[in-house]
Amino acid sequence: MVNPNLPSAQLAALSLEESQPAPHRLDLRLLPENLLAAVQALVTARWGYLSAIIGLDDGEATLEVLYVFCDGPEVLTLRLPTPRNNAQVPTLTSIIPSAVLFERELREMFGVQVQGLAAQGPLFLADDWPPEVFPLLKDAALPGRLEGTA
Amino acid sequence: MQNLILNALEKAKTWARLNSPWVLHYNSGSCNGCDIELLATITPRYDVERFGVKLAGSPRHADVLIATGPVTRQSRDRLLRIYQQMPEPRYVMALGACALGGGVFHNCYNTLGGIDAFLPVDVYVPGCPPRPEAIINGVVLLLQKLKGEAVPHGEPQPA
Repeated sequence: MVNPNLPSAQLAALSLEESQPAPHRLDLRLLPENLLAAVQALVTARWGYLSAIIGLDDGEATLEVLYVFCDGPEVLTLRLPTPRNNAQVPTLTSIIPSAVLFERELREMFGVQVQGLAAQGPLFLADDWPPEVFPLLKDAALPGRLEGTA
Repeated sequence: MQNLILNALEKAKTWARLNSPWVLHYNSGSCNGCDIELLATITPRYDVERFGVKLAGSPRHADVLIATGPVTRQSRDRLLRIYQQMPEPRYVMALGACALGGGVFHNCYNTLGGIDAFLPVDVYVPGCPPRPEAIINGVVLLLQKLKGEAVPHGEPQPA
């Protein structure tokens, strides 16, 4: 890693496994309970910024939530596995307030419960979108094309 | 006698409409590519206003609705409301690949299809985005239709 501030030892202690999928990339698998400590370590060390929070559904029983941090050419991804039928992650808003938009999107598109997130209600989906339908899940039962047409 | 006057009035209205169709532009979910091309058509570089084509500020003053983009679930009701506010006779031009059938957004969870899934479309202008020349051609086809002339369904094929 180019930026020497990366708190490698702290992150290694918190993560289950570490991989380098490409040059300038580092992937860490974490348990949800270790997420806040890892993010706090990055923020304290002033390493990078939160670039995106991504939901990943590859059709398995476990979803993944990806927290992508970037610093110059480098990309650090914190990967949180969480069970599909009871997906939960803690909120980052106590450390990074602007993560609220990513977390609301994650909740709306994947049905992942974000514990401690104060904001309620839909963000991107249409006003008449049926509740409990999460369009980016592989098995989402999408509403019909003309259902509810005026 | 009364019929004669009404007929003359109708003719005058058609004449006025042909020489200066007022258009209303609505984006029901477009990526803005078509909207930029439409603006290029209206602004001085292509300047269709010299032919009387003019953007109307309100649907109640418009003759032609130029709709860009696929119809999203959120904008469907707005699109229908704008169309219902337009006075008769009203015409619809679908502009760009997405307005024709959804384009790259086809089958996306938040889109419902092209413009013609909800409104009667008079002229389809394909392209991603269509060039201003194509948009002008679309307007010309629409005016031919207003005049009651036969409208070609595409370019003649080379023999």
